[in-house]
Amino acid sequence: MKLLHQLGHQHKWALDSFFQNKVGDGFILSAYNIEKDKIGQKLSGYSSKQYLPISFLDLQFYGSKDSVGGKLDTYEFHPINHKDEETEVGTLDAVIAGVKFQEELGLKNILVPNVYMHHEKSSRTSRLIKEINTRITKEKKKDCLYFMTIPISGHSIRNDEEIEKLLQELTDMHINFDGYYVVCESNLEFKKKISVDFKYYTNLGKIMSTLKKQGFKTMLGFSNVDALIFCTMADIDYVSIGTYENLRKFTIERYTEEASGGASEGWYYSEKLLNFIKARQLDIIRGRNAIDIIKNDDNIFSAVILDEGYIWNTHKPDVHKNYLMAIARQLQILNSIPIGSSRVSHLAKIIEKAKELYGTFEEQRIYLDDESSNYHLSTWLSAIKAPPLGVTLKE
Amino acid sequence: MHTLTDAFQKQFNIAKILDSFTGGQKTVWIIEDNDGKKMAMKSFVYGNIRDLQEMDILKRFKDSSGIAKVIKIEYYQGKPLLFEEFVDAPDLDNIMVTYSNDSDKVTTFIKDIAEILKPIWEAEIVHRDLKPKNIKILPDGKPIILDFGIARDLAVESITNTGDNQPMTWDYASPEQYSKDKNSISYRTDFFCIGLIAYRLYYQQHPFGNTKAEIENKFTIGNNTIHLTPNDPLNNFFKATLTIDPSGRPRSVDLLLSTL
Repeated sequence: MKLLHQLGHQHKWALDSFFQNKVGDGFILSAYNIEKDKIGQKLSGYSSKQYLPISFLDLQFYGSKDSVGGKLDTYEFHPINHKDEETEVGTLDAVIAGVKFQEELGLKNILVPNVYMHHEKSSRTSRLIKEINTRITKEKKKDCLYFMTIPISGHSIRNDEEIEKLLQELTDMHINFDGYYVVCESNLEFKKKISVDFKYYTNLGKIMSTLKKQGFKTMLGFSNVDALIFCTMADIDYVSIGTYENLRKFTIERYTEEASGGASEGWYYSEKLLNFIKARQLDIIRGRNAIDIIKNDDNIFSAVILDEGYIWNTHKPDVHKNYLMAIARQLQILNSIPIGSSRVSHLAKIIEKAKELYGTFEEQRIYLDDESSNYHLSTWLSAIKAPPLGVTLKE
Repeated sequence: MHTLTDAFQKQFNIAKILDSFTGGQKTVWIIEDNDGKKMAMKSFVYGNIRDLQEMDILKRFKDSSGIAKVIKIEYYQGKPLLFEEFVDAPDLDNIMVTYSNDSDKVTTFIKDIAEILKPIWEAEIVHRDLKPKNIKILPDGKPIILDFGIARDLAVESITNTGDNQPMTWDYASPEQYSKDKNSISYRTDFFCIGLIAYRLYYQQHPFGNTKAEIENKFTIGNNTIHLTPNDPLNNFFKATLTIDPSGRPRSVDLLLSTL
């Protein structure tokens, strides 16, 4: 498994994290945040020779013609520039232009762009994938690998039949993609940063494990800390790690509505609690002398931001580099354990310990609420302990 | 036995009628012509699209050694008559017990069937009715597949709609046939059926139950539990093919055969 920094706002932090702190294995460049002419030039002080060979480029066609914002319009072939009524031919041409652009950049791993389609248009999605497959089959370069982008809506991921049908199409014998880049809406509830949608976990887990089983390379984009769950359910080749929340959460609104992030003091990601703790709530923990219980091991950024005098702000790099370093470490440890029951046991133990820790906190009258509470841990346990897919043996 | 008039027999050069039976939407006679050649003559009751599809498939793959050869097509009162080579060999149905617990023999059978059907699957045609009654076994053990009567060319518009009763034989049907999900019918439907046949040859029992209701219930609730002998050489094949979800079955013939 390789970890790829999902680049976005303040992508310098991710680049520094890789080049200076050896966190991760590469990058997913973002068309939304990086204008076309800058790709292949120096990026935050790093030459293209340094970052391009280990990069993928997500052209983010998700909003199609209705895309809004960012630097998408600097890519002349992007559907955001289409003036006329959207047609399947037009979309296909844009996709192929996007593929050609990446090939000309010298990228060896090509992310074939795709548009997000609402579940009512599933037949159109199927047709588009087939057409793209036909074109890629004819025109693919021998020394490149082609990952088809599959954006999945929050509505679709909850529909077992739709997901099964999608998987049948993606794994048909006539498909010639080398792999899939899957991005999926996670149905977050109010005041929650981690999904508690059980269907999201089981169906996305099914997608990743089925694609891998069928011989495709797999990439999970816009991954949040729940990458721990998916890497336990499936042997994923590439998993993204990201700083800001919009790089750890795929939503179509990001590409179709103008919105900016709000002010925030930031969040401390604790490996031991498996959660993001609101900066303000660290005061409660510090007040009970329990900071050492939640701190991340071997993490220079954790030490800096847990210092009592640290002035918290979500727009400071250390806050995010703590998360990048911590989640990368956890995922790499997980990946070192063979896929299957051993990996499930390993993560189950960590989750149980996190639950115990929350219990210990309550005994010490430390109550963490809303997003900082342990609302997600039981769903996680249920997800990783769900019965395996396929044939099971009669006892 | 179904009778044929003297005039009919004279018109089509038939000297003797050796046997006859009706199955599905056609009647089959085993005949001997005036030159002593044995043939299977199929009379299509309706002469409809499905019948034409079967004939088209047999013509397209006439060079396959694993499919009964079409000798000629004639017409009687506007309805087609298909004359096929008569394969003088037992149905697999009658010799299933000879495969019991013999992993080598079952493996060879699976490979032979897959080799016959590979070009047909790649042409996006699904047999949909693979079962021991539709397979003859020659003296050298090689199979011949009969009856493409409910085969479906996925490139052509379907004859039935999703939700309609899909044509099937209940004890050799796949979960997607039981659930009448026509959109999920594909070459992987045949993979499941080959898995079923192989399992029944090997273990001499159905993996999912003894009655239609029992099997249907297991498929409906997604109960994918079956008996397998630990560490058996065919286990990977059965796990791969007998998966209820088609997406979990191998995506290609090569992947299918790699499980053996």
